[in-house]
Amino acid sequence: MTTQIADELQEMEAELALLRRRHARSESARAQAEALLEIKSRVLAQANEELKSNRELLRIELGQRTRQLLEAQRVAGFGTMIWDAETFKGELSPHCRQLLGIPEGVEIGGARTIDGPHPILDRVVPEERQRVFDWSINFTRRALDMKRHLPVQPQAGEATCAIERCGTCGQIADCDRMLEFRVKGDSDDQPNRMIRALAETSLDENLDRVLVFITVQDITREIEAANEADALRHRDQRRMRELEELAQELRTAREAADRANAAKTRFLAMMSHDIRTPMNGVIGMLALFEDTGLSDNQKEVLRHMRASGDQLRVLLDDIIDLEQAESGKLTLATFPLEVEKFLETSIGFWARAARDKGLTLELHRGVYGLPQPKWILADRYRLRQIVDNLLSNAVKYTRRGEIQVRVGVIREGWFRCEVIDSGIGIPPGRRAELFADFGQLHTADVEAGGSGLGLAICRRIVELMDGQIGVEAGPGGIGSCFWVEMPFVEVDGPARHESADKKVLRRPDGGRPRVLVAEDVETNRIVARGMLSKLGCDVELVADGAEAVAAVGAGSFDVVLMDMSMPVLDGVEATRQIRSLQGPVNAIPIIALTAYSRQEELAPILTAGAMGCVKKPIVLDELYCAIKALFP
Amino acid sequence: MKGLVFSEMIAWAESAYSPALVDRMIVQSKVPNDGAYTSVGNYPHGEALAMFGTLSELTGTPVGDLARAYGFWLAGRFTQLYPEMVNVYSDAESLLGGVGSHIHEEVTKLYPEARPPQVQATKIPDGMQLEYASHRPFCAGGARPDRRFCRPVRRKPQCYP
Repeated sequence: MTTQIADELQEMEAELALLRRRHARSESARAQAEALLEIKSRVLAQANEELKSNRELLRIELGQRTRQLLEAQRVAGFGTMIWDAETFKGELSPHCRQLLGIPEGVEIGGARTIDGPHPILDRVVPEERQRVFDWSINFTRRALDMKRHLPVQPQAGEATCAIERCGTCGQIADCDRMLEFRVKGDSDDQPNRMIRALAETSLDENLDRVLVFITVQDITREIEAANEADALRHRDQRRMRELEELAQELRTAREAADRANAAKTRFLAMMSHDIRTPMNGVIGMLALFEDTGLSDNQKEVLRHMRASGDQLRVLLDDIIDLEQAESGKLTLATFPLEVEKFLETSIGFWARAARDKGLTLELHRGVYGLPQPKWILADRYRLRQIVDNLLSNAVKYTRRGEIQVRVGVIREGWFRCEVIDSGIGIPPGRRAELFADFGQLHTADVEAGGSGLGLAICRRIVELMDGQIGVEAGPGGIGSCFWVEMPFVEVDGPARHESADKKVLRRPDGGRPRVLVAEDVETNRIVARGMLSKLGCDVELVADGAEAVAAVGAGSFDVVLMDMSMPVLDGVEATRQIRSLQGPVNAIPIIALTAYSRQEELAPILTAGAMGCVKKPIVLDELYCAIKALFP
Repeated sequence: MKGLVFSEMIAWAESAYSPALVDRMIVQSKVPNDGAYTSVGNYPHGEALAMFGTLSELTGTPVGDLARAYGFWLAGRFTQLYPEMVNVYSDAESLLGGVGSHIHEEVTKLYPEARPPQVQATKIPDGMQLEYASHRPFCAGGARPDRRFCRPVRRKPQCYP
């Protein structure tokens, strides 16, 4: 019994110890939990404070953002409108109310029916009321439709444009979201205003309401500006067309003027050619007249007559040259030229002219230190034309003082020639005009003679020779300095050079040359005979081509001077027939005699077999050179 | 590991065996605090492993069987303790699907320091596939696995009576 009691007591003690331990564990756990709870509570309290503070910050921020948004809307001229697609309840931003003319406090929403009062529809001009209603109701219906059809429910706040997302109406253009309509002015005397509305739909935060979100904008000024711009554009286009028409008229007029100018130039060239033939007679006769034993007085008169004739001849040549230059037909014929001799004869001629006028003309050679070439390849006639032009101007425009000609090789292969006068000079602004066609300067000081073509032709020739021509003020600003720079090619001169001064022609065997002249104009025949006799030739004359062919076939001539245009048989055909004669006579040298000076006009006779040509009016030197060249 | 796992384990063991056996388990496991656990605290998972090991020795039941029985009991407790969380699921499949994405997310909201395992449930033709990954060595594949917990993975969810 005692043992049993003792056992039970022991068991109870053990159970008590167990309970005590469990209790101790529970107490310990509770203490842990309370400590943790205390910590958590503090954290929670702190978090709560933070939340409060953050909520206040957010409230302030939201207020600011809202004010900014409204201000931005006001500045940008935008208003916003939002309504529930199902309940049609909505709200307007203050600026939207202002734009549509709806006072504060008036409840707003989408319109269910077109009839009856509606704050927005009532503001729309009557003729557009139906259109605005249809648009808004269609858009709202489509938004609801879209919600039903969406395969995936969108997140709250995600934009769900009905037009873009609806699979059943993919063809609907984006511009269906936009509507432009007129609203009445704020009062009767105010004009209507144009409003542009742009709609979108979105779901609210609970994903159950479809919201129609619309921005509105006053585009009255925009439309006005666009209309104004359109009017301006039309006016500009009209002006542009007018200007184009004017330009076309000007072009036509200029082309007509160009054609007239070209025709005038051709006419001048033709006329000068026709004048050349009688001129030939006059000048030739005058040359022959000199040797007829005249008195001194008569010789003086004759000298003036010949000078005038020469001037006329130069003028004719200039006109023809200009026409050739204009049509790009000016060509060069280069032969070896003895520089020193060329300078002596060309400058010498003008030195005498200057002396006669009481001026001095000095030639300075080798002024740039480089050696002067003896022979160069050049077109003597064109070179002489340049020198004559520059020097005749210098003499013409200088009343007193001196003229200097400075010539030298300025660098390898290039020479420069300066003609410096102490004349009236040329204003800098007008220097370029000098080299234009008919660019003579008219001044009160000097009565200018000549055609005004000389320098223009010089420029063309110099350019043809790849050179440059110009004018600047003379030394010390007095007078003018005309300069020419041109490239040159030095060549070996002919082994034997006979002076042309003698002007007597001899056959290689020493006999007098027998020359046949075929020329239809009697005066010209006489001139030719006179000149040839002067050169020591025996002359026979015929009046047309047929006679010339017969004479060549029958006689033994050394040279034929063949006029190009003759009756019965012209020079070209006669030349061709002579070349087809039997025997050695068909090789007789033929020189064309012509008033034509244009290259293409000479071509037929040269092709037919002529070996050279002499221009009419005949110049003794040229005739001499042409025949001389035939005898080796 | 959350204190709830410990406090509930002790409650389960006391109901499944006896308070005296649980007292012995605690004493023999030599856990710190003498086995005083509160559900809101956090304790090293090694203490749970130690107590399960001791319980297995005391009862002669394999650790895996003990753990499964405890899990079954704990699932019932969860429905009592957290009805608002469990009741949103209509069946076991959806509940398992929500463990990783919903339940553990809520746990980490309440206890930011908690590190629940990653549980991913995927529906497969003949049932569900559950992928479980934990930093705690409760199974093979852990850093130092306690093999007594390991059992072959069952493909189909199975309810224990």
